[in-house]
Amino acid sequence: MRASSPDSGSICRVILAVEVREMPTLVFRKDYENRKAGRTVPPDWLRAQVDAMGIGLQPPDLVRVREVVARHLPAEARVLPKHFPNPDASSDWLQHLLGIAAIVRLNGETLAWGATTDPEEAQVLVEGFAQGPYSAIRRELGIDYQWIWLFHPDLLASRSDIAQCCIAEQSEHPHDRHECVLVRC
Amino acid sequence: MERDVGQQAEDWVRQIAHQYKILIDPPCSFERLVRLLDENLQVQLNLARPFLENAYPAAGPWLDGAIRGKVVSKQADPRLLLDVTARLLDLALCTDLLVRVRDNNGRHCLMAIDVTCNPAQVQPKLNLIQGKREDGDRTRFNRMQKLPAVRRELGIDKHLVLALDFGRLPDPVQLVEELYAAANRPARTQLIDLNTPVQVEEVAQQSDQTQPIRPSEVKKLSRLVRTWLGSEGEPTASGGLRYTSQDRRWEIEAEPGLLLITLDRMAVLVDNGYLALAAIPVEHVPLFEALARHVQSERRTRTERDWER
Repeated sequence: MRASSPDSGSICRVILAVEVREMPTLVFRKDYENRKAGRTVPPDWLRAQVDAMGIGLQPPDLVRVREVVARHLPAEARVLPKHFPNPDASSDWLQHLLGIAAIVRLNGETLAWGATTDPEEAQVLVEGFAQGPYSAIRRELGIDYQWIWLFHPDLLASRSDIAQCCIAEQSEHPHDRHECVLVRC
Repeated sequence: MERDVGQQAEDWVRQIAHQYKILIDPPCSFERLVRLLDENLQVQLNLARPFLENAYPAAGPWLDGAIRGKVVSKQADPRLLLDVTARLLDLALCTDLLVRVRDNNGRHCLMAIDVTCNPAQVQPKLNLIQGKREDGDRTRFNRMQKLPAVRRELGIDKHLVLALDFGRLPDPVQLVEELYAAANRPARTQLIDLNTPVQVEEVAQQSDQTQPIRPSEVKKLSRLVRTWLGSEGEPTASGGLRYTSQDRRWEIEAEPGLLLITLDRMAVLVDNGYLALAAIPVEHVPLFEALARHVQSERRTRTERDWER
C-alpha cells in the first residue's frame, strides 16, 4: 500500500483528489456510453451473474456510504456525485466512487467486486483503489478485499468460470494476496 | 440475462454430446468424490462449498456427512445428488461435462471437458488441468498439483480444454470428430481449439507475400503445435510431429517452406519441414519475421544460382 493512513499527509490527499476527480468521466466513461447505447455494461453484467449465483450481499445504505466517503475523500464526495446518474442510490456511490459493482460474501470474506473489459482501465483501477483512503473506506464498510474483474470484451465468462476464478484466487496463500487485486476471467 | 455466452456455449456442447449419446453422468459416487477431494484438494473443496450451498441448499449437510464418512445417497434425491456431484466436479476439477467414447482399439475412453469461449483463458485452464503453476510464477504456491492424481483416481482418462467461438460455432460433426481424435491421441490433457485463430491468419497473409501458404494449412499446423505443446505425455511419431531432445527441435513431416506461426505467447518458425520452437514474446515477432524473410531470400538466390548452373 503506498499511502498509509488517510491522515498521514494532506498533500497526498489533495493530489489523489485531483487525480480521482477525473474518474467517473475518464475511467467509467465507456460504461456511460455503453449504457446509453443500450449495450451490456461489465458491472451490470457482473451484478447479474452474482445474483444468479446467489452469493451477493445487500450494499450498505446511502447514509453510511456517504458519511464514510465524506470523511476519507471529502473533495470527491463534494464534487463527483453531481455527475452520477442517480446520486440517491448507494449503488451509484459504490460503483462510481469506489468501483464496486457488487458486494459478495464467500468463505467468511467480504469481497467488493468491480468489473471492466479494458486491460489498461483495469490496471488504473487496481492501482487507484489500492491507495490509502479507499482502503480505509473499505475497512469501515466491512470489506476485506476488492477484486477488479477483467473480462473479455464480449463477456465470454460463464458462471462456472467465475466460480473457478474465485476458488483459484481465494486458494492463494494469505501472504500472497493483496487487498486490491486484478482477476482475469 | 441475454448476454451469457460462456453459459450458452457449455449448454450447447452438453446438448451435442447428449445427441450423440456420449454424454455420461459423473463416474463416481458423491461420497467418493467428496472424500477424494477432502484428502487431496481440501482447499478447493472448502472454497467450492458456498457456490454449492447457494445453488443447492441441501448440499451443505451432504458435504459434511460425506466428509465424516456417512453414506448420504440413501436419503437424498438421486437426480439432485447427481447434479450436486456434477457441480462439484465443475468447481473443483474444472470439468464442465464428461463424455465417453471408444477409441480405435475399441477401448472406452472417459474424457472430462472444460469449455471456454475466451481465447485468453485457454492457457490458464490448460495449466490448471495439468496441475501446473501459472507460467513462470514461482512465488505462489501451487495448490492444484494434485488435480491430475485425483482425476486418475476417479477413472477419468483424459481432460480436454475445448475452445469455441460462440459467434461461429463449429459443425457438431466436427466437434464430435475432434473428441474422437482426442481419444486416440496419447496426451492426457489436450486443447481442442475450434476457434478461428485470428493472429495466425494475419501472419499467413503476411507470409503470402513471400510464399503462398494456404490459411487452412497454417490453421492445421498451429492447432497441431498447440495440441502438442499442451500435451504432458511423451510425444511419439504419430501426427507428423517428432521431438528430438538432442537439439530440442520438433521435426514435422509437412510441406517444406518457411513460415512463422504466432501463437499466444510464442512464435514458431517452420523452416524446410523443421519446426524450430522458440518461446519468444510476441513483441519480438517482427524481428523473427525479418529473419524469416532474410532466410527466404537467401534460399531463393541459392536456388537461382542452382538454376544458372
